[in-house]
Amino acid sequence: MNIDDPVSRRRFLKVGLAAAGATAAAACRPVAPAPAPPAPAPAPTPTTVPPAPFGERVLVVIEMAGGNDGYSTVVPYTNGAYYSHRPTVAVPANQVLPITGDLGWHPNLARISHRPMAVVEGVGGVNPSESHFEMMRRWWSGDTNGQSPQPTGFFGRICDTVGDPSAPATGVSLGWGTTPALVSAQAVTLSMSPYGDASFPGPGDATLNATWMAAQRAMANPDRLESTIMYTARYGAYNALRFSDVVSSLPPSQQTYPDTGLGAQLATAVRLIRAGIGTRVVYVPFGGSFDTHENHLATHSDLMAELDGALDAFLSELAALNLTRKVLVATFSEFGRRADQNTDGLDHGTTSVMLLTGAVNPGVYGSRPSWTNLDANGNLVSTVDIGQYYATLASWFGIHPGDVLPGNPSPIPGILG
Amino acid sequence: MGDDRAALAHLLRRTGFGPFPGQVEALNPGGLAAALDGVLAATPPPLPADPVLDGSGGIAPPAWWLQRMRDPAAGLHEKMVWFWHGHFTSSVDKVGSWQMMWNQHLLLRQHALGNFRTMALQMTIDPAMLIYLDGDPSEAIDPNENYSRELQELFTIGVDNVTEPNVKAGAKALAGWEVDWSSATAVFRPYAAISTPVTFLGRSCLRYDDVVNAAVDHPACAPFVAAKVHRYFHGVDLTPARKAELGDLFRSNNMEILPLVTAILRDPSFFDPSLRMNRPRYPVEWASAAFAAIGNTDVGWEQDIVDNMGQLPFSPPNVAGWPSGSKWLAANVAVLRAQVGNSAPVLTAIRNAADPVQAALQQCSIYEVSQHTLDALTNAAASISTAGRRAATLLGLVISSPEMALA
Repeated sequence: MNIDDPVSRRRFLKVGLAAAGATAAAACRPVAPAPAPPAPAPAPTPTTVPPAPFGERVLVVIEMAGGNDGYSTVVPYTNGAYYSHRPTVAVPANQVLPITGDLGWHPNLARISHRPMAVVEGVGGVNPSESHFEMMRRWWSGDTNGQSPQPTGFFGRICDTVGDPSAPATGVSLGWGTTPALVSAQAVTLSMSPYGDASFPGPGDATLNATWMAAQRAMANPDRLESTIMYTARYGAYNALRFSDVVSSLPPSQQTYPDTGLGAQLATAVRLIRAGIGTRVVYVPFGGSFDTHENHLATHSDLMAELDGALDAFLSELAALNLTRKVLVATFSEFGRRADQNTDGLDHGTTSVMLLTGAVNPGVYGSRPSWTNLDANGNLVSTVDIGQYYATLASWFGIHPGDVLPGNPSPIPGILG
Repeated sequence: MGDDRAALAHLLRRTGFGPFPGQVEALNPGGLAAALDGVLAATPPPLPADPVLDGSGGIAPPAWWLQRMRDPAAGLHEKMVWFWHGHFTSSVDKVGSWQMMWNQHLLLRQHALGNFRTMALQMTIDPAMLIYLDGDPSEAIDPNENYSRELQELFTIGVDNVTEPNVKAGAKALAGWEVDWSSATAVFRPYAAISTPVTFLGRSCLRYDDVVNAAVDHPACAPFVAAKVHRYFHGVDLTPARKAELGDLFRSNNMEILPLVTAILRDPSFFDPSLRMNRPRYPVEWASAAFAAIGNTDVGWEQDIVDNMGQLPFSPPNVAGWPSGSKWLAANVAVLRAQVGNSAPVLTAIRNAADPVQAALQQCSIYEVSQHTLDALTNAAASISTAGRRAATLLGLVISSPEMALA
């Protein structure tokens, strides 16, 4: 375990807990992804989907914690410098699935290569740090330059801006525990199990459960005549009970998803979107660790396969339900990896590649960092600031970027219709 | 003999990680003043001989600490260790070494009720802190300003007294340190340090101790720290006059922490009934009391609960430590409270009690209950016909009640 990686730390703690014979909830964490079914035949070239009105739009964020190597996700397969920096951990040119004459998909992304994907190259921080901790803090909070601390999470601010205050949950994280990214000032944001279970805990026995829930509801009835703190305490439980009620009646999936953590998360994301309960941001912490210091090629290939299978099923279900026009999917990772390989892995870097799909104009955006003019630490120099990437996500909702981000950055032109 | 149980419960909530079942009843005959004397005079239990480290086959530091909080003998000293963990904070997520985090933890334990200046001096060159706030490495030619800024803004004099020239000057005099990972110690390299003094907070400073002493001697430091400690125990901000008074007291006691804490707790205002349950219980406070009330010793599960609530020891969210706001009362946390409550067992004392509602409340040391909560519990009790099921359900409901969620 690499202790400086929050993902593996959490995973380690979960494992320790399961070994200690603790709760069932802790033991049901996804293990190794099952192999995805064979890739389908090439689909027709994807076309632009005209987006729904602002008020109907939803953002699905996929957090790839650990530092995803953008240039193993997409590969500059004609670039000699790329291959000379990484003699044994580069994706071979004859395996990539070409997007353009000099950029191709990782071979395990065959399915989504046929989907409307927007690839954003060269995304990184100004004043970059190679600390997971620091860069996750910046991405979560939207402190895009590392020097503009924010009191709430970036996606929490989006919820505050676009959310219906009466919605049971404007932002939902499909993971264990809370995410700093969804910390909001007013909007209700909460998390639910990736397996779609947000039911309020109670006894299994039906009669006893009815008594238990009646008492919980009575205790969770906020009363303005009481103290503010007592009102707040009851209100938190009230929100939990209300969301539990809503989620217990979510429509079932209409699509078979791979038996992976991300598959379960994205299946639940569609159910939330279909339910029309006012959820505008669905936050998906990808359970795998992208911190590929060792054995990069094999580890990263497995992660790409999990991404490909789950995201393809998700996009397929959205299309079948005519929901593509309402949904923007955006990935982020705290940083990319070093240009040079180590023995068989890649150390922390700065610049990476982010993916967008759903109602996007497919294509390659941003610009490619140089593989010959690296920075003093041997890292790719970013060409697109985190703020510009985030401004694009804000503009999906018609939000003026300066309202939710420091420095009022401009969206990347062309991605959104 | 009066009934001081509500005030005693307040005292134990604020000065420890309980109350634990039966504690309040045991103290009640002796009265409030004697109980407060006992809190202030308590000696913390001894530390394990060997460091508590992850991966050594034993228990990891977060679980060890949660267990220690459950020890009724830990008391006020433990409560101050938690305070300083949120003040001179570091996170294992960035530090990346349990050995260094444990060493820092020992430093917090050593000085929790000791001398603030000594703690600030040692913390400044503590290996975990050097890594956490980027003093490792920092060279005078291009010094890292992180620690210099936070030392002033968060640790000593407060944001209103920070100027950019002082941040830069402090960073120069603090430079020269780095961490030797093989020995987990801090090493001073003279060639990376300045050789002529800089002016920092109006003083000529050459080395880290000059910088720390200048910050601690700054007139804003004693009242700034005193106000934060006051808020920790009282749950509310103090008046400017009281802030100045406590600052003077702290200063005149040479920045000794125990006299400051004593003054804060001995002030009659501490027992003002309006302070009771005026802030959220932090997850570690709630979990410690709740797991004790249901008699659950599964520290792995307790760790999972506080982690999912957002308060895993040794992993604070940022350099400002643990937030104190209403986020601890949000929906996610309520679900986790109910999850623990749902595991409540049948306790004989509740099952056999003439008034099982009162017995369940007493098991959780709640002696003041709102009408809404009392009605909910009474109705639940009336609708369950089996004494055992009634006892377990009532205890679970009290564990997940809003009263239990407040400190």
